[in-house]
Amino acid sequence: MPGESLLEIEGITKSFGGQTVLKGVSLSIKKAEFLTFLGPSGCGKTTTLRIIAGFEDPDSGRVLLEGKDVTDLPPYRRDVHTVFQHYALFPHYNVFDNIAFGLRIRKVAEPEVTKRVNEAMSLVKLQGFERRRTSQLSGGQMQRIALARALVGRPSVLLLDEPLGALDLKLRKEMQLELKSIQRKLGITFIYVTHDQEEAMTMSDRIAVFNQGNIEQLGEPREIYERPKTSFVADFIGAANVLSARVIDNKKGEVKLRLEDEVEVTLPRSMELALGAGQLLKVAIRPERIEVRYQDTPANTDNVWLKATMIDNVYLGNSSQIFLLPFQKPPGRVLMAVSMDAEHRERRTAGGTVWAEIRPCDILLLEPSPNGSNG
Amino acid sequence: MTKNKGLAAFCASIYAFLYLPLAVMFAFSFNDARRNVVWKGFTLKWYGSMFHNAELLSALVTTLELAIAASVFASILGLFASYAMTRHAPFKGRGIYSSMLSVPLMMPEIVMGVGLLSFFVRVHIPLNFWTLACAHAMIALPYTASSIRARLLSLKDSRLEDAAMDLGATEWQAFYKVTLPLAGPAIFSGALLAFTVSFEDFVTSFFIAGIGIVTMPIKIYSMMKFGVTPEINALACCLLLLTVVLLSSQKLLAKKETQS
Repeated sequence: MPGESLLEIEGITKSFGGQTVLKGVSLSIKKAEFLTFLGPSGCGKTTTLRIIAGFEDPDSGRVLLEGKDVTDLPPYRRDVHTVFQHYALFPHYNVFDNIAFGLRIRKVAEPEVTKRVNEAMSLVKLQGFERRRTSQLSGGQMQRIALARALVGRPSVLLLDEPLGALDLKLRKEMQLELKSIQRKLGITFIYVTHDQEEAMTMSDRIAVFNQGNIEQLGEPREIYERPKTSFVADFIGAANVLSARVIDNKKGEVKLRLEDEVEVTLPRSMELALGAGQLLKVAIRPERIEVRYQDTPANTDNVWLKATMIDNVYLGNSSQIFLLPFQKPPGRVLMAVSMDAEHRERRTAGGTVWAEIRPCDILLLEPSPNGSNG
Repeated sequence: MTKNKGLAAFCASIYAFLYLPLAVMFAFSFNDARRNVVWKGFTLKWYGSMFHNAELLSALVTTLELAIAASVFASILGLFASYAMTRHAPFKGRGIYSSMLSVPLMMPEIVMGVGLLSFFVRVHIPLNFWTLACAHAMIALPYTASSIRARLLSLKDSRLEDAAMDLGATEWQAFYKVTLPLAGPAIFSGALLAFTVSFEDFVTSFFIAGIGIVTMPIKIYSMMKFGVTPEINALACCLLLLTVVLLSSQKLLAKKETQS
C-alpha cells in the first residue's frame, strides 16, 4: 500500500524559447503509488516527467528522490527508468539484449542477467521471444518489451510516457489492467502520463490534473470526479454542465445562488468557499446527477427543482442523453442529462415541458482556475 | 498527343546530349587505331596497355590513397561536427556554424585552390601528400556532415540515446553502444561520397599538389596535351565504372537506411 513519500518535486518552473511550460509545479509521490499526470497536450505533464527522468533541467525548483536532491544529476545516475511513448527499443539488438541492456551497463554477471531477463519476460508474458528482432514485433509486444527493459533494473520509480497511445482500444484496455496488476505485484512507484481520463481513472491511486503548466487538482480518482475544484477539472474529467452562479446570500447552513443570472436555487448547506453576496462563481453539475421528471412532483422537497423545455432526447443504447433548457433568457444554457431509466426511451418527445431534479450536494461549487482562463 | 511527342523528342535530345559523349568515349576505347578519328576495328589492347603503364598505375595508387585518407578525415570530422550540431545544447550561432559547414559546396573550386595554396605558402607548410589529403577532406566534409547529420537527427527523434542513458549508460556509452552502430551506414555512405569527391578532384589538386604528387585526373590532363588517345578513353571508362559503382552503393545504403 502507498506509504511514505518517495519523490518530491518542489516549485519546478521551465520555459522553452520564452514560452513558459511549467509555472511552479510541486508534488509529493508516495512509495508504491500509481500516480497519473493527466491533462491536454501542452499542459506540461510530459515536461515534468522528463525533468524527473533527468532529460530536462528545470529553470528553478528541485527534484528529491528518497530525500536526496537529484536535480543536477544526469539520467544515468538516477534510480528512475522510463517507458517511452514510441518504445525506443534498440533496433540493432534482439529482444533479450534490449532487456539486458541496463544490467550489462551495470556490469551484472551474465548468469544473473539471464535469470533476471527471463523473470522480466515472464512478468510481461513474452517467454520465447528472446531471439526475435524488434522489427518482428507487434505494437503490443514492443510495449511489453519496453516495460520489461525498464523494470528489469528494479528502479524505485518507473515513468511511463503515454505508453499505450499507439495501441488500439481493445489492447489498450487489456494493457491498462495488466499494468496495474504488475505495479501492485512489484510495489514500484509508477508515474503515468496520459491525456485519456478514462485510462487515468482505471489505473491510478491518485491523479494530478495538469493545465497550462500548473497542477489544478491532485487527488484520488473519486475525489477528482466528485469534488472537482475548478471548471477545467470538472470539464476535463467526465462531462459536466458548467454554469455561472451569483451568490445572493451566504449564511451558515443555507446558500442562495442565482444560476445563469436567472434561476434562483437554495442549497441547504454551508458553502466551502468564502464568498460574499454579489460575487460570481461557477458551478458544475454532472449529467448523470440530473433526474428528468415528467410531472411537477419532486421526490424530495430539499432538491433543486427546475422547470425546463426538452430540446432533444438522444437514444444511446444503454442510456439516454437528454438536453434541457431551464433558462428563458437568450441564448440560454442547455443542460445535458444522462440516464439509464427505461422511461426516457419511450418518451422521446422534444419540445415538451419537463422538470430537472438535482440534489443540492450535486451542485459542485468551483474555484476560479489558477490560470484565469478556461474558467 | 502531338504535344507529348514533341516533349518526348525534346527529352530524348537532352539525354542524348548528356550521354552520347560517354557512349562515344566508351566505343572508341575499343578502337584499334592510334588516333580517335576513324573506326578501324575492335580491340581490347588499350585496356591492356593501360595496366602496363607504370606512370598511370602510380597515379592510380596515389589517387586511391588520397581518397581513402580524405574520406577517413572527412568522416571523422563530419561525425564530430554533426554530433555537436545535433546533440550539444543549443549554443550561440549554431545555425551559422551549421550552414558554414556546407560553404565549400558553393564556393568555386578555383577560389578554394588559390586560397589553400596561398595559405599553405604563407604559413610555410610544405605541400605534400598530407596537405592535399586535408584539402580534399575539406571539400568532402559537406557531404559526410550532411549525411551523418540527417541520421543523427532521426536517431534523436527516436529517443534511443535517451533510452540508453535512462537505463544507466553514460553519454559516451550511449554513443558507442547505440549512436555509432546505428549511424554506421550513414557514416559509411558519407565516406563513399567523400571518396568519390576526392577521387575525381582536379582543380584543387592541380593547385596544391606538391612536386612529385600526380593524381589520376592530373595525369589524364597531362596525357591529353598530346591528344586524346584510346588509352585515355579506356581509363576514363574504368573511372566511370568505379564512380557508378560507388555512387549506386551509396544510394542503396541511403535507401536501406531510410527503410529501417
